[in-house]
Amino acid sequence: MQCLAIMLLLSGLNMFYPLLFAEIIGRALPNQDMELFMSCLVGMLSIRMIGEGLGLWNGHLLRLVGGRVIFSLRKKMYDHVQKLSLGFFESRSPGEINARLMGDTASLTNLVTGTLLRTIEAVFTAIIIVCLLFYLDWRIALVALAVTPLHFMSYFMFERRLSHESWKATEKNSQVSGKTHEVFDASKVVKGYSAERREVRTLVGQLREGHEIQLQSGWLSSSWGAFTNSVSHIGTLIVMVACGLVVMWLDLDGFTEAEGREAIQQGVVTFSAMIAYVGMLYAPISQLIGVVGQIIPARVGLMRVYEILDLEPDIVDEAHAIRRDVVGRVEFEDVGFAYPMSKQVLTNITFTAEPGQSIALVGPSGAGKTTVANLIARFYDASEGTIRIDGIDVEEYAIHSLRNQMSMVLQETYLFRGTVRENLLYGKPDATDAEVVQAATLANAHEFVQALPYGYDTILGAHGARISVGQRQRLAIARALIRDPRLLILDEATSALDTASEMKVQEALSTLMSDRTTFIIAHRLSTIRDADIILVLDDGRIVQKGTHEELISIDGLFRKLYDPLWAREKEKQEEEELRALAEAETRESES
Amino acid sequence: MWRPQVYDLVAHYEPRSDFSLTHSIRAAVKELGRKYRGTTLMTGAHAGSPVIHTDMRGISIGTRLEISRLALRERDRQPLVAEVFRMFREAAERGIASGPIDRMTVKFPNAESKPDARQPIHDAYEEVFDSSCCFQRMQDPHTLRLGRAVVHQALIHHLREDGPYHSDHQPRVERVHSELGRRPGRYEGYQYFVEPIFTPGEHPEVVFHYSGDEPSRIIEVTMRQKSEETLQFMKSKTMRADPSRFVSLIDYDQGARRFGRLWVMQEGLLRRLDREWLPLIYLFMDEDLNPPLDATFTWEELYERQRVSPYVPRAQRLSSTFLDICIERLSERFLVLPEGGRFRLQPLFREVQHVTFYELGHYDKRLG
Repeated sequence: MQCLAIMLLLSGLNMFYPLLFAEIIGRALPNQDMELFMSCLVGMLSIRMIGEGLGLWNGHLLRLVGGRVIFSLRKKMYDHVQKLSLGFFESRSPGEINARLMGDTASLTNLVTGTLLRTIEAVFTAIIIVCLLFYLDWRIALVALAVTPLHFMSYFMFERRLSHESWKATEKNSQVSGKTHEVFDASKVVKGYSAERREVRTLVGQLREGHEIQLQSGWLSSSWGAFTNSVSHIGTLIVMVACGLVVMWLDLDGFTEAEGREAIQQGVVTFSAMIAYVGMLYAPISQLIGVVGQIIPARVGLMRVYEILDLEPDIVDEAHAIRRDVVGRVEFEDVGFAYPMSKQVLTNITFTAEPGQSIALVGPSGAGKTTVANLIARFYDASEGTIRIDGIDVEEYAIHSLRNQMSMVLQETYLFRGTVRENLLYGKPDATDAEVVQAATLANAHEFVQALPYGYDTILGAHGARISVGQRQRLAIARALIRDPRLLILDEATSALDTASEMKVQEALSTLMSDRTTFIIAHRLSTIRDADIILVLDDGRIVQKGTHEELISIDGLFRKLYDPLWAREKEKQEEEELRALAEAETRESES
Repeated sequence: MWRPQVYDLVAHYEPRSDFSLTHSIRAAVKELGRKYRGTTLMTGAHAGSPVIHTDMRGISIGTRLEISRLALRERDRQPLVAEVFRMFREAAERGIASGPIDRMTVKFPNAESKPDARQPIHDAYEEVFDSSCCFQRMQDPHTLRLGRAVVHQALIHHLREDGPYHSDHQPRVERVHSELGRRPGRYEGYQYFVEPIFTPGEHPEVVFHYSGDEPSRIIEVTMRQKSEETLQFMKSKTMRADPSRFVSLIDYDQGARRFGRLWVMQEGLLRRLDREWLPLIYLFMDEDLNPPLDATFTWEELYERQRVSPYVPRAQRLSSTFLDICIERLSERFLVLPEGGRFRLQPLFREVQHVTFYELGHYDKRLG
């Protein structure tokens, strides 16, 4: 409000400037009136000085307001993005999300730091000037207004195209940002395939295109500005001609010489002021059009920001969500799940895991093992059936309360850029040093951490570069261990390790699994041999259930997966049977 | 009749990892521009001549051609748009673009609510590509995506499950589909279909067919042993003679699903529904699931129905927010009409169709 008041005050002050100028031209100079001349000059200087002071203060206020708006928008967006489901992150690159969070919100700065207020100011100024023009001479006022439709015509000519160019520029920036992020993230693969030049070529192509879009956008914007200015100049010239003709053709019949001179002087004063006002009338119109030029990228930015803010999180807490400690009894009852617009991934999954039991999920790729784990962690909600933890529907728990009692160790271990200690504390920020060391010791990590140059204070590179995969995995186990979870999910936690590393990690896992309900997804037999229950999944269904000894002794998918010789033999036999059956049927149909 | 209309048309082409926007491609686009130049009087979002752009799609590069057309008279609309479609096709055929046409969009003011301005585009597409298209509503109400739709049945039949697509058969279809994926070598060279056999009022049945030059006993035996479904051979010629009898596996699967999102088509325009909003439609129906189209309900009456409706999830039955959200979403999609504080199903509700939307480039690929 303060900003608007200052702007309107400034506009009002500026209205006096042409009047004082006209007094100098029309009265002070022809009459050699020094006193009037000096008074007008002082008045004009005062208007400018007060204007500058108010402008300075207003600029500061605008920056303050704009900064606050951008800050709260970024905060809101970041907060919202964190609540979105895994599917959102799987479908967009981190670079693209970042471009929206930082770049698109920044493009709104212009909108909130002045565009809106300048629009109000421009409209206010234009209305005052039109009133003044009509007050001074309605005929000239009509002439001045006659060219304004041309200004608005230019809006229809340029707006859509400029708006689209602006969208293209933003989109291209976003793509380039996503690409660079991806390439830097996969720097090892890029170098491994000596694809550096190819990547550079792709990026250069994209940058060139971005540059061309910027050029085109700039050209359109300048053309629009030039068109508007030309219309303004022509308008001013027409008004000057009209004013000149009115003064030239002034009817002085019946006037004395002094009265005639006085009338001409009055005419000069009036028309000098009018010409100045006409210039000022076209300025706010051009300004309004300029405002559109600023609004366009801001609008594109706003649309892109709201595209994300309008996404509703798939998983939300219910109104009175339960927050309580869990013991660890997990029940699946006829659970089915399908990703949106995708086929059914799980069908009729029913099992119970008692507290402290370890459940192994095995099966061929795409059988739905990781989906089961995702449903336990409530990354997604089941489409059918019920999942209960300690007898309560998992959807009734507060998400944070549930996930705080859960740890996951994944095949791809993500370690943040920071010290070893900071990475371990990520699992439990308030853990003591003793707890950190204990967790690392139980995870078989303490020994190698001690050997690092600065022990627990050694900085790890992005993704934990500088230490081996096995060491990274053991740190991930320590991070899981430090929060003493009731539910533990191990998703292919050892599949990327060699036998020596696996043995150490396996030892660490045994410690981690004791007294917790553990879900193990693994391909290696060594990891699941000791599980209390093994669930064999195929095509989203449980096809076998039992202990290792039970399952390996019967013909079935489990034996097929873990006894390759038997599996090959069985497959051959099946194929022969099928062929024999087909031949028999052919013979039968022929006869 | 003089009714100026500006169409902003964009064709997106399938991406290619080795595509690069070379000088020769730029020159070819310029040449294309000279051939298909048209005025826009500076009123469109794109120039009157085509402009090529690239989009990074994963590790590949896709191209898009953009152009605007101003049709001053109604009768000019179709020829002008048809000319643009020909240009899009030529760009793909001459290898100027990164690949075949993947999708197209058209933008004009209030596109969603202007069927008369959509019709010339539909007709132009039919004229150039010799097949019909449909429009998908995008987030922006001025932009429509052109695509192909497979019409399954009326939405009312889907809601009542009394049409040829029944969820009982969906797992069977999926089993067959999954078996086809397991032994691709065995099943190659044939196409697989479902024939829904439906008599109104009775439970629909399905027959699985495979089509090719010669029957294959090993395919039939393997499928029977592995998925417990019997495949019947059908000559390609017979199949082509009566295509309306047969539905591809993937289409039957989509049509019989009771999960995932739902596409509905009204006046050639497709809109996406979330299944969680559907309970609202059941609130307008009577006990036999017939929608009395002239009946109107107040919010309070709908809330009362929601409290006892078996079609509303138990957890949501007492939620007024749930009802508000469903009303808002379905009103936006013109399925429910608010009328002075009361609500009703839209009068043409029985004609709303349950469909599956495919991008232009994906439609034919669905048959495998």
